[in-house]
Amino acid sequence: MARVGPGWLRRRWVSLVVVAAVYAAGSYAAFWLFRASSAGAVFFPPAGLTLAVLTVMERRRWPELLATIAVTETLVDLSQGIRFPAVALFALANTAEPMVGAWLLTRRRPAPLLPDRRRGLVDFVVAAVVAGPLVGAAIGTTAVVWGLGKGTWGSVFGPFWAGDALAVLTIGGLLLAWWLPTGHDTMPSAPLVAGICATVVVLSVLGYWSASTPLFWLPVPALAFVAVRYGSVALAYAVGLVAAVAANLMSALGYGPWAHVASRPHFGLTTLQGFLAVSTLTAVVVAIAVSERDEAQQRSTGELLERQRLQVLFDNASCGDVTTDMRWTISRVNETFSKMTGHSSTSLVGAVQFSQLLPVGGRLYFETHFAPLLRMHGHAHEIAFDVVTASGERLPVLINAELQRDASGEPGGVRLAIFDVSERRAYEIQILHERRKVEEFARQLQQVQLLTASLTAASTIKDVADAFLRDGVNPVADQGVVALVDYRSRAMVRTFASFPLDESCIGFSYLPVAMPLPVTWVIEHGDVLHLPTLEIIAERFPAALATYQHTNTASCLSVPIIVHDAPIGALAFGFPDEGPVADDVLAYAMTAASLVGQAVDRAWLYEHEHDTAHTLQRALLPRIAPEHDHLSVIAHYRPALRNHDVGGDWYDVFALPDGDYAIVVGDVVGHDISAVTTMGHLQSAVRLYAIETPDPGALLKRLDRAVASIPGAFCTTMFYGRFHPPTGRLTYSCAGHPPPLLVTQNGIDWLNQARGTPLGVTPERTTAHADVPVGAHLLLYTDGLIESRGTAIDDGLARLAADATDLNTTDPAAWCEQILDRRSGHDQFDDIVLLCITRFDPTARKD
Amino acid sequence: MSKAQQSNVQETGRSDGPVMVFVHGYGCDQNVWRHVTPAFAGDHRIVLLDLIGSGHSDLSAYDPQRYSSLHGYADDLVDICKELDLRDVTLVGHSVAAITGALATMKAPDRFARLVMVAPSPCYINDGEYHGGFDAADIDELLASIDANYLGWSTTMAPVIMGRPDRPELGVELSENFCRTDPNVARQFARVTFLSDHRADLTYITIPTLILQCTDDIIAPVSVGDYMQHTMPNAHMVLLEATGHCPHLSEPGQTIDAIRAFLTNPTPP
Repeated sequence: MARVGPGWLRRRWVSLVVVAAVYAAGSYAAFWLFRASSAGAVFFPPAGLTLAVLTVMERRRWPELLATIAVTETLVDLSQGIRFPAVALFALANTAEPMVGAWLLTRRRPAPLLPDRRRGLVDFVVAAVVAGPLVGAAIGTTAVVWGLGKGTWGSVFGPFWAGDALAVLTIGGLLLAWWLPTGHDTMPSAPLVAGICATVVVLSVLGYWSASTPLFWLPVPALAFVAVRYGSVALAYAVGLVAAVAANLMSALGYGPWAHVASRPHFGLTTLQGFLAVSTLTAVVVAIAVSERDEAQQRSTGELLERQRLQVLFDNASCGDVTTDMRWTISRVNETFSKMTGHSSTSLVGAVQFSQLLPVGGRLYFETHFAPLLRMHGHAHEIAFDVVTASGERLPVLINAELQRDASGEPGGVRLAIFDVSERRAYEIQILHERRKVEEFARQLQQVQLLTASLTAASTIKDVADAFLRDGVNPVADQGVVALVDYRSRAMVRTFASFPLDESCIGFSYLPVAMPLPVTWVIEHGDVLHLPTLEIIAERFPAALATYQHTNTASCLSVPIIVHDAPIGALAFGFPDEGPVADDVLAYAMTAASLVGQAVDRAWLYEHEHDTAHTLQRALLPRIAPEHDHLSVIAHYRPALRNHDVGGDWYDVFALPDGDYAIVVGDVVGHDISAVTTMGHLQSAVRLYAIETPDPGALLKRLDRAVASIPGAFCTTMFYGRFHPPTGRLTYSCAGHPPPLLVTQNGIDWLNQARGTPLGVTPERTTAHADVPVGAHLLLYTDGLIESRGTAIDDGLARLAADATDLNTTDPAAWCEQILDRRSGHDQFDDIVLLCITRFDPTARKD
Repeated sequence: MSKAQQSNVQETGRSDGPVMVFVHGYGCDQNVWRHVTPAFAGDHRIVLLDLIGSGHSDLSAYDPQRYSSLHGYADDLVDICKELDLRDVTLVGHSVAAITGALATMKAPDRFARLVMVAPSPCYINDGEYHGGFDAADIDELLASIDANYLGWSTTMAPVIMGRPDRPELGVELSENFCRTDPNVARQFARVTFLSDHRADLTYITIPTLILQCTDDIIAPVSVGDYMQHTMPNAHMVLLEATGHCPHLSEPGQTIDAIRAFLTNPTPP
């Protein structure tokens, strides 16, 4: 037990010397003060010392300690004239006694329970006070009765045991209470202890003064008072020791009720020690009770403070804390929640279901999402709600919820942590708003890209309008109108709409600019017009009302189409609902108007040029009489529908001064107005050369040279033939042009002799001839007839050959119409020239 | 992909037993039935599904046009019954799925024999005498709640989450959230759910019908249950002592007992 007790106990030799010295002092005190030798057995202080020292000391040091005790006891006894065998027996008694007591006290646990606790006191009394001294008394009594020859067993045993027991109780108890660390003893200050001890001494002297008047109880109230007042167990042992020493001293000096038994072995001494022991024990027990009570009080005060601290933590937590039962009835809320929402705890607890604090829409979300989620997973985290505060405002919160389970694992309630996220929600709404805008912007961008692509492919005004109505309206509106000032007659507006322009609406696709309509207003003013309600539409543009009603349009936005700083038209967007127009819709409308404007500008330019080219082409193409002396001529020029370019195709049939006929078909490279003028030059050149140059090959040779000075004529393909009516002979030459087809009663024949390169490429020209019988048909054409997208030239030629056989049984005019109808249409991308020349016998005709 | 696959159809119970089809309501998925179906799995063939746009359904199959009314969902139920060749079906639908189920029974009367409507309402919006419980403005508020809770939804996540019923683990991290679904789908489903009015259809629901209504449910009040019981020719209502809109989660015992009694005797006097 080196870990406890005073420092000197831990130093081996010092401890042995001190023990020996104190033991010897105690023994001499017993002899001299209490007249131990005469009585044989009295209050014996060393018994308490040895017990306390052995109890706190490690067992391995017991032998040397016990040996020291035995030697000291023997020496003291010898000095007092006691002889063997009593000396040996006393040594044995005074070593066996503390050994038994300490062993019993420490046998179950290395550190003994303190004698200042109820449980420790019981152990201490049973082992050290009762059992140990019983062993010591048995041996000691033997020594007194048998060794010293004094008294009897009956008279010696009791006092011996009681004397040792009282010493163990008071001194041993005091030392152990002093040495063993307790941490809770409330020993008063040293002067006060001295005063208390002096008082007890005085009371003992008074109490034991008289033998006849029994006042020996006088110290008892003092002991009780000290125990109650100070609650110090060590002090209780100390005053018990003082009272015991005083009482035994007084008795030994011949005072008090026990004076007559103090000088000889007598059982009566037992009652003195018993009385003192009981007094001391009582004081100790009371002190223990008081100290335990004080401690309990301190503990409960601590617990109360801790509870208050927790309550403060709960109430002032950084988040609202709400507990509900499984029916969502609130059973507890903290201060934070009350402050957050303005709802007092008393107005909520037991009276309100948590979901009732939510607005109706939030309750829907609560019931459809939050409650099922919590039920299924036992928790739900970071769910956003608005809580309605006491003043009726909405407080944005985030809620974490945990299902609380009872001991059997059944859901017993819900704990909600509620965070005020007003600021954060404002950011979130802002972010959401921005994201919506970005998404909307991306969507519109996509629409604008689609519209741009559609408009790029559009070349006529109608194409532009169709593209806008198809791809430009539905991104923002239900109905759309394009109105464009007609570039020919500036007084008219050409309109296109997403709805049919029939009698139920305005009824015309050409309107006078002066007609009061939203689009004409916008064209006139060059400004944006928004008509938010039908009422306003009816008031400002009564003529348009029927159209709006018919198309379920309740409000309208119209924006001008500006080209070269002038309003040349307007777009109108019709919406099914009345109300203001959003910024992004307006921005989109302006963008669409700008795109449509660019496309219209292009289409106008194109249409204008196209019109001019066609006009010129028509003017340049010869007007050929259908009937000549020997030939009937059916001539067709069919311009392409899909491709709006003007081709350089031409044909010519004319009579020469010598009575022959010149037959020409050609195709100038290029598709614009310059190709038309080139064609005009070539046509003139052919007419001129034909008079001077009878041989077709020679004529083409001259043209080969001439193309150098005719812009755009290089690589023109051309067929030139000269028909001599008297013989029916056709001489011809071909400059890279598809071969004409001769259809006779006997079949078909391609005129594919005398073929050369297109004009200007090589000067090699030859002339071939073919006989054209009466009734035969000569088919001349340009590549538009035999070429189309997806068809090879050879297939086109074969198809023409197959169709041509019908000529013998069909009227040539009807046949030509048929063929052209079949070839033209959506897949016609080039102009088509088709000439059908039929030789007839003029004499037969005259019949 | 078949409609059953798109709808993440799961089957349990006895494959040769009478068929029960369980359909979840708005805001949930087929998991909500997990406390109820085990009670019937011993003697029934249990068919569970996620409505398109919910749970682990194939989000790519969501067609805003088709699902612009409950008829689109009802057609799905009929399609699934045809694909799996289910007959004599007891259809158990919660909330909006109760009405959807009713529409399905009208569309394919030969497939369905009994209808269990858990916390149904044919019309959530107040209309004159009829008290549905809500105004249109409340629905806007609900949409705002959806927006506030879908904030984390990102279009970049969509390819991962959407359209992969074959790889449900992709959705695991978000499975406890509502954010697995495109918020636009959630919003439209909310609109379709809460703005539909199918009161006029009720008189045509002639098959034996059980209406389970909770005593304390703000979404489908008892008065709505009374209205339905009186309007439908072959329906009877059982009141469950329950708070909230999901008795199959909060009071599975009562729910099971009521359904079982109904299956034993579908047309009590």
